Amino acid sequence: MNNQKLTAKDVILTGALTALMFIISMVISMVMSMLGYVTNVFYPPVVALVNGIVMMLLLAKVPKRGVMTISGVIQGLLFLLMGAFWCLPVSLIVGGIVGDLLIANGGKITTKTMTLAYAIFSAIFTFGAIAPINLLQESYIATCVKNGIAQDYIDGLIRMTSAPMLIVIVVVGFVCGFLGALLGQKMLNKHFVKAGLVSAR
Amino acid sequence: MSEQSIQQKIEQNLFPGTANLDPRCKLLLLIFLGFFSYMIVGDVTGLLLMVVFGFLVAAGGDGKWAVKMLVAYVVVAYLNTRLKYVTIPGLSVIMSVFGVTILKFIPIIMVGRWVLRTTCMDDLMVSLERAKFPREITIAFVVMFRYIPTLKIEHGMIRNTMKIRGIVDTFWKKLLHPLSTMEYILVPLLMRCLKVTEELAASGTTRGLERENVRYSLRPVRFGWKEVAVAAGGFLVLFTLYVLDHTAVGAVVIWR
Amino acid sequence: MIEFKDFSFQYEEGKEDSLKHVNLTIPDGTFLLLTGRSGCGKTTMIRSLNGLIPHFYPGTMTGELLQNGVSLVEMPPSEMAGKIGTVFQDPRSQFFMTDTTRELAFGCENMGYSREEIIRRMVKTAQDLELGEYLNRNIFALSSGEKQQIAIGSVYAMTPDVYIFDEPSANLDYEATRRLTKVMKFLKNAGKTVVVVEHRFYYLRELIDQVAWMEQGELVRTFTREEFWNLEEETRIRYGMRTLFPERELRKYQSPSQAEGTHTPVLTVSGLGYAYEKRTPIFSDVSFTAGEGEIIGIIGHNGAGKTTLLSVLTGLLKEKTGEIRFRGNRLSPRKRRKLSYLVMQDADYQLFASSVEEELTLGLTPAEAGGEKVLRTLDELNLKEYRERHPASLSGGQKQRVTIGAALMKNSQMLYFDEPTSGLDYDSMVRVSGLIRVLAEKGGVIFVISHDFEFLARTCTKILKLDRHQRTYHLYRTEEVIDELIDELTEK
Repeated sequence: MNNQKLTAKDVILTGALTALMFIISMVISMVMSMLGYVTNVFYPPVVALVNGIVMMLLLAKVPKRGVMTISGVIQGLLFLLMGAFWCLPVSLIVGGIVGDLLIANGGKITTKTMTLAYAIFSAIFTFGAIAPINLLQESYIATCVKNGIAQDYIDGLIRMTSAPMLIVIVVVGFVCGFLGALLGQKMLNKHFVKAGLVSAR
Repeated sequence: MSEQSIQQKIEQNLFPGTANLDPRCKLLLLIFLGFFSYMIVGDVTGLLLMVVFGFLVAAGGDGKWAVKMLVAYVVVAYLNTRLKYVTIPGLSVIMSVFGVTILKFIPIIMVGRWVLRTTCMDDLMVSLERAKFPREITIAFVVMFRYIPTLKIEHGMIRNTMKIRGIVDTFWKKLLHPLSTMEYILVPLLMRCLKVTEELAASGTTRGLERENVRYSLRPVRFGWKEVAVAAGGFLVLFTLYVLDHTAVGAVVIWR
Repeated sequence: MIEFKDFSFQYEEGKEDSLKHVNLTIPDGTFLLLTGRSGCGKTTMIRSLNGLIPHFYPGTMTGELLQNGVSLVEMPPSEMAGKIGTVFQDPRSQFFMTDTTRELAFGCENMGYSREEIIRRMVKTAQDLELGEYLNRNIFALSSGEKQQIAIGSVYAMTPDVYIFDEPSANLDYEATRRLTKVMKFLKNAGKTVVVVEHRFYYLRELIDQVAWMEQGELVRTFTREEFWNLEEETRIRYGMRTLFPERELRKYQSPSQAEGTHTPVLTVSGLGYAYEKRTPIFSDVSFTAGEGEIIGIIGHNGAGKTTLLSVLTGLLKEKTGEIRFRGNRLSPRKRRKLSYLVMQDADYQLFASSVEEELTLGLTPAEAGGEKVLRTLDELNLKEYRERHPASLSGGQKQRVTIGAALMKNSQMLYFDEPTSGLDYDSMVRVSGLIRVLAEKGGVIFVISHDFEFLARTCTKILKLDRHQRTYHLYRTEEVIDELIDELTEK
């Protein structure tokens, strides 16, 4: 089952559900960046939580290796087109590939490997989405200084995007990915398995 | 309609000038832009970047859009300087970071939307395939583009029903029950998605989507000398601006 | 020539054979109509023909299916592409590209034809099927009928010898159906084999060579054109088939017209207008009065603003001009939403819960949802045994009844149906018609958007019809509209 080739049907479902995941990320990131700087930093974990539902459905319908990579790559490409800093697309692609390596580790795709793969994927995605703020600190601070913002605010900003903070955020991303996968499996059982659209395993 | 006018219509370029560059070239430009845009900080260099890429977009049939984005850029740049008069603790930092982020986004959004609008799906498929992207990725990518407008329509239908039935129809209910709100929107969307993709896949499969032959698009797709020149030119411009940014030019202040 | 020889098929997840020992010969150039009640195996027949079975829909099969002596089921779909072309039911869900020109080219591009060859084929397609006007347009902006024409064109450009249509008229208005007939006639005259699965087949009557009637997976009877034209009404109804000659029967089954004043007026609409952009109104100055217990049909071609009218009436959109009064009170959009219920064509958009029972009580306060009411409603709609089932696991008709149930629970005074009979066989259509009339007797007003005049004639007391020149809707007696339709049908 695991090393089966992907059919057009599988690929099309992957494309459509990834479109949904992409829209969800866009909406959540927009809303949370409006709400303020602190929530903005935590948008990737929230995305991971919601998209867990979509990803679990996708993996349940197409339990084959390659799905996460395709999903990551095309989402990354679209983010690139929509103006994301290159870190984010790269993280989605790397996350997808790593996820696919983990998902069939030992040959069989199970709920457990799905959960693990998705949690790791989420952590990588979170890192890719937040790291630029750290990398671009210099640029932000230069502009802040130029705009005459007081030094202690700038210090606050640096603290906010420092390396320890980044680690905290990535860990939250992992946990949310894990929870998202569990939530997705719950939804799957509540609706799709019950409706006979996905076979229970 | 006569044979000739039909043929003309089929072969006609839907967009002028630079819009007809190979999609790979447009994608490359976007990648370069995404890389450099965040690192070019100076006022003069930033504005120059907008102007150069604005010309590229205008030459590709979207002049209006380029002008709009240029105006937006100037306005945001000016407003950012006003922030120094706002001295609300915390908020100033947030606003400032927000303002700077938006400013960095504007050039990419300008070019990104233009690429999206002017790229024919079959050109994209063929050019990605020539760039040795696997079949699975090109198909999924094209489906994703096609499915985003569909999602918007379906979401609208679901929201209408929720309104009529009084299911989490007010802001407060949404705020109080975020999880159920999500469930009520996502589940029907996903159900529809399963159904629509099955028919889409059936339709594609019977029209030979799974065939593995080389494909040709309606218009020639070639990464020729024009594409090389534009991509190299784009890179050079960006690199020069980046270097300039670290000289006296980068320090010149226009927005005050 | 295509031959089914003792062909049986069972889906992987199926409990019994979906096709049972089918024997059928389709000579080249035949126009075959495949019909039968919902779930009789028609769809499985065409899936076998176009190669989706067994590669796309796996399962087990016995017997043979041959085209010119070569087995069709052993061929992968990619090899059959270009030989057998299929136009699927929903025009919205079968395009890949975002503009029409590229969609027409899609099949040919998959085949790997050279650029010159693709353009040559497209020019021929656009000429033969008169698609020149449609080129270089955004597919999302097309009506269902136009989308379908593009879908047909995309298949035609691949020059298959066999064309398969799956319920092509289900989403079409009267005019688009006429255009469809014309295209099918063209294919027939070009010597192509055409297989159409359809419930409402009156528009094909001049084209049919052979008809196959199926029931429960068996091909029970085939008719020649003469036999089918002369089929007795009684037999037809026993077979659950729609009429071939609506003009002969529309009057017969028409709901008895009632004298003016039978219904106490409850809903008054005056001067209603709506526009998305100021200069181009979708409709304006719509005025009419509806009585208690009336069922009002809404007709007009695709894009005539029927859906917008419904959205304004239900309160999803706010009117730009005019007002709506119910039992004397002027209703704001919010109040209209409270009183209204819309049963959409696609029930999928309307089902949210994980069981039928929960679905009925969703969005209601505990007081509204409590007591015996849920059970009574379930009973009334014959849904009692499905109480615990997930709505998505039900059949189309059952899903529709669940949404109606939710309307009953909400005590809606104004019920709106959007195309409630699209894709329904005769029996189901009659059942829906009966159900709607029962609902009307409970009071309130019912509106029905439909292209299905067999159903409209049976069900509606009055009909709102678009006046194209003034872009407004006028209320007619059902007889008037039916007479007009009959004139148009006989003239053809």
